[in-house]
Amino acid sequence: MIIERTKIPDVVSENIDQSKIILADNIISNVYPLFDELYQDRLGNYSSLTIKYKKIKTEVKNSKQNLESLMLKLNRIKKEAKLLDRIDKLINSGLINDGSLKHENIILLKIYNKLSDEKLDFHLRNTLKMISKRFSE
Amino acid sequence: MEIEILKESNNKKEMLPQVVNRIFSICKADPHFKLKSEMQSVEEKLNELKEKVDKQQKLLDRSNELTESVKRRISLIQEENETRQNELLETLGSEL
Repeated sequence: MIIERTKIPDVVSENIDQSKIILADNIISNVYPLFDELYQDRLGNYSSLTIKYKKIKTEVKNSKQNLESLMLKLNRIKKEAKLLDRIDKLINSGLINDGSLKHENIILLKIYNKLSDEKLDFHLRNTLKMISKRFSE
Repeated sequence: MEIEILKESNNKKEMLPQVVNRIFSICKADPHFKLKSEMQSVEEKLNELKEKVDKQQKLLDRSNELTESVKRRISLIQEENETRQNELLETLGSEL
């Protein structure tokens, strides 16, 4: 038979209630510090998660700004594509095969991607007007 | 007899984590535990924050996916525009 020595008090039938209280107190006094550690651990987790949350929020904000500027760029080049499409239509309909209009459109083709948004809109409206006029005749 | 006692002793050792968990859960629910309410409050806050972080992470992943997609579209349209610009200039008898 193996007898293990422990610090648990011996229990005899006379002092069983008192022994239970002593045992419970011993358990509680050993367990509560662990809760303090657990609490500190949770606080630490909360603090590091707060830092992570702030960091990720900043990343989301930056990503949103980046996406917004890319959307502006996308809209711009879509407009440029539309202008090229209209110039193509004008050429195919024989409207700008010669004269000053041809020269103007050559220049426009060379600089369309450097124009301001307002100028680009102006040329878009202008080419549309010319196409509409051509096809309404 | 000795073997039986040893077996019993091993069974008790296996039970030890369960006993510890039980003690833990009982003590945790004890209203006299001074950090009980604080612990609950921190755990609730922690869970809330975890949800928020997950939400923001999903948003960030989606935003990064969209950014990549928009970049690809821009590059594609720009390439098409350049080809078209060259073709149209050629048609009009000019070049860049």
